[in-house]
Amino acid sequence: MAETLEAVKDRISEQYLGKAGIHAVGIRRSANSITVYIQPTNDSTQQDTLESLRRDASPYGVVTRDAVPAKFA
Amino acid sequence: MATGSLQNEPPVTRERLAQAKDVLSRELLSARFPAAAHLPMLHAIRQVSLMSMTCPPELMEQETLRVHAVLRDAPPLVHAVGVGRKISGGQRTATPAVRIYVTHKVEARRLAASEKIPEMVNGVPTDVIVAPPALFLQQSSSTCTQNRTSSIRPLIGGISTSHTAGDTGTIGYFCTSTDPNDSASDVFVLSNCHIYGNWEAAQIGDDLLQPGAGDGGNRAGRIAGFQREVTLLFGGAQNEVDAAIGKLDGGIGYKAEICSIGRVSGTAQAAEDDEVAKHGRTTGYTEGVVDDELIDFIMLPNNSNSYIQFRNQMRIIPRSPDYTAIAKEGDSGSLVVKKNEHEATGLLHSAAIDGSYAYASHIDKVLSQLRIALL
Repeated sequence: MAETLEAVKDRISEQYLGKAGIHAVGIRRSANSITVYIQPTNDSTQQDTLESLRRDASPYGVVTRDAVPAKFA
Repeated sequence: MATGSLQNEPPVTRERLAQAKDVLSRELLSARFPAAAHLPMLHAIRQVSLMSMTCPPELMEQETLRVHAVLRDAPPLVHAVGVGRKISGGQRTATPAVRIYVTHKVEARRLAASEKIPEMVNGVPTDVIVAPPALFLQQSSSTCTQNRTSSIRPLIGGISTSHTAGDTGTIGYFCTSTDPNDSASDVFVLSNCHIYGNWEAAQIGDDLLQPGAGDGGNRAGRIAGFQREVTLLFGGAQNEVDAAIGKLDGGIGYKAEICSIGRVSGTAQAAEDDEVAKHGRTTGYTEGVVDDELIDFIMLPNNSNSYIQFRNQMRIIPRSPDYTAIAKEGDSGSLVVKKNEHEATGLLHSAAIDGSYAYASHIDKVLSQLRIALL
């Protein structure tokens, strides 16, 4: 039985949150995809990390968005 | 013709005028239109009244147009009947008349026979005048949004608050406790743990202020004593909520409403693309869209060298083009509600510094982990 979108999000979050500028991992049900929020960095490994993440999220798609991390409001 | 009839009628005495007015008042105000028919119009007018203090002009214009649309489609609404000189061509004439005040005029061909106002009543001419209905004068939500960083009594959700030694945020709402150790009659005020918890240093009974310390609040503005929090865990631990409550002091009045929003009508689970609203200490009333309903994130708080991680939060973005920021520093603790239904969906606690998005804890988790029920 295929993993649900929520389960894949949990797994991706546990594995990648905090790495290579990734500060948030969510879902987009309407696109049946994982959403990854990234603080752009000069880290050359960021693209490699995202490629790895995409493979791990399969068969779900991954949408990446640039965003500054949040602060307590 | 009305004027022809008038010429054949005896002179209009004060008594006849009053009788004619009473006839029309009974017919038009008491029996003709059910009270419910007024609600769409009054709601629309109230919306404009609420927004007039907070909206940019272009949005205000949109709201005004919306009100016009409501009025155009509403049934002809008579809201007052009186007496006075008939007005013709914009000039007051010498002819006494019964004045019927309506919110708007409708072409005669669109009216049912029973809806048409007679030109004469008991030999007295009528005069239909378009005028807005009167509203009770009271402290409006516009006042609370203007004064949201000042002292406001009775308390209302959406205004400034803090622990004496904590960051300043927002009163989310009012609640009772579901913990059997608490008195069922006590009322609690809801905000975030990082607002009321003083970074895990808060003790039961600590002063909670309105306005918050960051807005000049001090012990004279004490409203509640700290009661409990869902402790925030730093490092790798996962948090689901950022929430705390204080017990309102005796004699502190409150209204179970949110400034510019009104009373909360229960709770609901937020879903992707839901339209939501909040009122906070810094940005006031804003509307947004749930962009992500189950997001995990990490952040580094300003006063900490340790990361904090949240799990299964909702991410909210401003509803464009009317809003460019959903929340900013000081809006923490704002209750997030569904925009139209006013059902509580979340408790806002974090945001991008430019307000381009915010995070909120799901309300069901807040209620269960804090052991409370919203009033």
